[in-house]
Amino acid sequence: MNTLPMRLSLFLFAMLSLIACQDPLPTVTVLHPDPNPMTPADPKWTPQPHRDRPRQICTNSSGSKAWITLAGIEDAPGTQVAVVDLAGQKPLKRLDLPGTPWSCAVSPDDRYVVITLRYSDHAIVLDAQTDAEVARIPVPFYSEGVLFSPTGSRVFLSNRWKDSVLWWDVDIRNDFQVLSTNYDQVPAEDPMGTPVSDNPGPMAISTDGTKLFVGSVAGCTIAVLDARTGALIDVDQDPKTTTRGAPKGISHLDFHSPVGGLAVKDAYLFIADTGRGLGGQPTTGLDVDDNGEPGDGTANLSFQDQQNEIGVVDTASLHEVHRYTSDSICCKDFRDVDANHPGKGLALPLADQWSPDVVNFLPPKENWLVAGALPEAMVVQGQSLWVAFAGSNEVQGFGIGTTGQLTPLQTAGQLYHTGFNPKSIASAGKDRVVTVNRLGESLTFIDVTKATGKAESHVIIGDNKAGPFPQTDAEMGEGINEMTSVFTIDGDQTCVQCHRDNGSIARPFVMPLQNSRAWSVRAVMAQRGLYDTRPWFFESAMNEDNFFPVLNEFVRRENFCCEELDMMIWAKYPKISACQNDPTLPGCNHVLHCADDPPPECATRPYGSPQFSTRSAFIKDAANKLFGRETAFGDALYNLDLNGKKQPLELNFDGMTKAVGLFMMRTPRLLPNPNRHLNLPTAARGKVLFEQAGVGCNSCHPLPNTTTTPLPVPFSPFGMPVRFPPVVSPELRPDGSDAMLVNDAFIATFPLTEQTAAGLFVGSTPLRGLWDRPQTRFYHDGRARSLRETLATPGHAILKAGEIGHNERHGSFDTHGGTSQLTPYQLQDLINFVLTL
Amino acid sequence: MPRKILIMHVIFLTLLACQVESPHATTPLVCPGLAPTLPQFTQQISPLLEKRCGDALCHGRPERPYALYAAGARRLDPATLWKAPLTGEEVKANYASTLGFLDNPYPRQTTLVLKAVGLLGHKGGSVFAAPSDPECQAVIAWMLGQEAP
Repeated sequence: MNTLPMRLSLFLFAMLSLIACQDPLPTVTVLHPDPNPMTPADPKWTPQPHRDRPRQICTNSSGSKAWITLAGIEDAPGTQVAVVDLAGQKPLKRLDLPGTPWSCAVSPDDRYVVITLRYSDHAIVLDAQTDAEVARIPVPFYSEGVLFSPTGSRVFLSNRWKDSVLWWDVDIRNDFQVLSTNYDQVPAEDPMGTPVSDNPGPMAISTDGTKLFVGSVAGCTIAVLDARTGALIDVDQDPKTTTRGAPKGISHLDFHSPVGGLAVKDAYLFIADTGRGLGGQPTTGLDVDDNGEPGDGTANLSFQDQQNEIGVVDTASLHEVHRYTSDSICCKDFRDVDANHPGKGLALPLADQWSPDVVNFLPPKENWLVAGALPEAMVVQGQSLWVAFAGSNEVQGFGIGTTGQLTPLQTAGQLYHTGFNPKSIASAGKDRVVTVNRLGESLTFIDVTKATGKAESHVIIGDNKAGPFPQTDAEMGEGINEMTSVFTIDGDQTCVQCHRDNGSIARPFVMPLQNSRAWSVRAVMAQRGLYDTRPWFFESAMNEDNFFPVLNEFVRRENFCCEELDMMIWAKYPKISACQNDPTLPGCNHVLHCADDPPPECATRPYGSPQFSTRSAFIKDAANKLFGRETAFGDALYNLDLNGKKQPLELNFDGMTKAVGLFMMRTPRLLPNPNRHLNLPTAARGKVLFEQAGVGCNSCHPLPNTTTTPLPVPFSPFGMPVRFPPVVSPELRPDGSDAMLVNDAFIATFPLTEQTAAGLFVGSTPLRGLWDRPQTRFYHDGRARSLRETLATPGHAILKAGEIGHNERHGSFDTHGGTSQLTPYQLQDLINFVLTL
Repeated sequence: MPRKILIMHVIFLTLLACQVESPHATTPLVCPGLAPTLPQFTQQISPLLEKRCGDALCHGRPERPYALYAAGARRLDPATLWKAPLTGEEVKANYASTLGFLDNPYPRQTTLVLKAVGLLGHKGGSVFAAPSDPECQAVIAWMLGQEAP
């Protein structure tokens, strides 16, 4: 009898049994974004290239291998991770994942890689040697950041939906085993984990493994947790103080600035942010930073108050011990507070004036060290801190001293150049770092022993099949939005400093063209869902072709001498009309022929552009530097010439504005709503209330747009106007006058503006995506610290101790919807519905 | 031997179970992990339970295992004005009755919540559509000694 077939059959049977007995990996649920309302029917719609948008990197401990998440965009999320040979500087392969990869972390023993999937309810675990998927771990949607403890026994995850930190206790000595989590058996709709601030992102752990630092982009704070117990640490140890949004009695590290990156070296935590300035005067006006004192404590005004900073915190005492600011905090812009010219402030136009004592609020000059724009990621390598600047495509190194002090290894002009929009940075072996360039679809390897120009090499790991970014006018607009710095007079600022990741942050700011810059502020609006909610901004007066005050602030014409607007120079010369009447008047040679014969003061003034005499020349040069072109592509932004041929717009101020406006409209960028996915009865009841005439939400925030709009098609099902007088009490100056108004220049710039004796008319703010916005800043000025405060009338039973109901105007209740008649539970149902939008 | 084991099991299970003494005991026991308080019950939960559960046809009846006092329904003293707010004693009695149904360390698994959301047989049907309902969340928060969300 031949036993071989028998043995073979038995062997096959055994193998099949083994396979059958293995647990299949669990199915992952993925949320999907809503369709794009901008369709080919719109004349400005053009097809856009597919891009992978690499986002985060994690490496093994030797820096020889890396995994890079290819996150895609909000509306077309990616599903792959690129595996890269860092030593050889080449991509190895791509891994297909069951969801949308966001971040990753490698276990300390280099055996496992945890990858978070943003829109999914699982995180996945890979074998770091084979890249095979070995486990899927249930997590709530939007678990984004991930970090191993130094011993590898715990995995921390930051969750954007729950605004909390979750963790797994793991045993990875053999298989990847999750022993327990801090959200076991917690229902999906409940709070879970340790609450931190809005939209937590970067995390770092102290060297001794005892403290976990969790940076919040939208909440602008850093929560400190005991890494062993998970409990929040009250940073100031004062139970009477509470950071906005934190549990009662808990204070976070609060520098009032969105946290771009965190890194730890020895006893020090390094924090990348954009400074604490909120655009106001340092010691007068509103207490914009909630510290109990008027003003914001910083010298500069308006957008010049945005900086690029690195803070250093002692991880034992939790006190900030050093803070470094932009190297150009002074004096490139004509308005900058200048300690060498303290009297200059009073010579400025009224809206920009500062008094001589304000110079005292400038940081010490020896701390003006940070040379790039928008520090977003950092890595420590040896005794050096490497900082990637997403807004200027640069990397700067700092030597770390024994007390955490930083010494720049490069200064302006010497920084390393990366591909477009470096969003993360990692060590890639000895004396090498690597950045992940989101818009550039690339990695940049930097040999830090060499000088810039010789040190950098770039490798494409994303999708450049359509050509390198940008290839369309909308892509160009996105590039300007993210990498605005080259278009700014001081190279410091970007649109996304405030509109971080196209979202909003809990940081109201003093905006240009407010009538009162001391007693009013504006909350930051998200760059989401903009196509069918025009006109934009609270005043509902700006559209995609004109949001002048915002971009104007970055590059005011006064900085360009031959624009003839700098009154500190041109006040001494005749007006143009006088010179046109009589060119022989003294000084008219400069007035009429500035480009060829500028006044001598232009060369000696200590601010402004020394190279360019007009703004349009500066902007075109900047466009050339960044994109290698001075015109749009012309696929959507063009004029027709006399022959009917499309002529791409010039990239001057107008062209730049329209490019950004086109990007704003092109895709919604609304994150899929996890609350809506739950389909809870409370939200269904809340929808009924939302639509009830007695409550009235639907009249002004009609579903589905949640605002009335004339564009792209008129939408106001209940006949409400686009703009109406404020429904809540406007801010007042100390003399009782209305501080919420805009000035005449605003009205002249935006003819749609409505402002009467009744006050400034505002539009109904779109509510879509509200779940993802900071939950402590609602209304146009961020006054409402919760949705309860937003919707409740004063004294409503739903309000917690210390809360204020803002649904009133000058003492009349129910001016922002009828809510006084609702029980607390009904009002909570309404809130729960609004959180599903 | 088996008898001794049986007795030991009974003792063990008794210790494990969450016991509540009679409403007239001085210190009701509560399941470990739960931390309900009388003040929060008085302010927030008793009015809710009165309204949602205390009808004379439902739990506003003395013969119910879960019996409540409620304004406009059952009163401790028949001489009390029918619709007057509950007295302190009546609230305390409601508190003690309610504690008797907090029989699991996980609030959502208590008999009180399971019946209220219709997951256990309940002639009154679902009082709350889901544990995520704000009213149910308030009850759960009370059980945990937390402020209502």
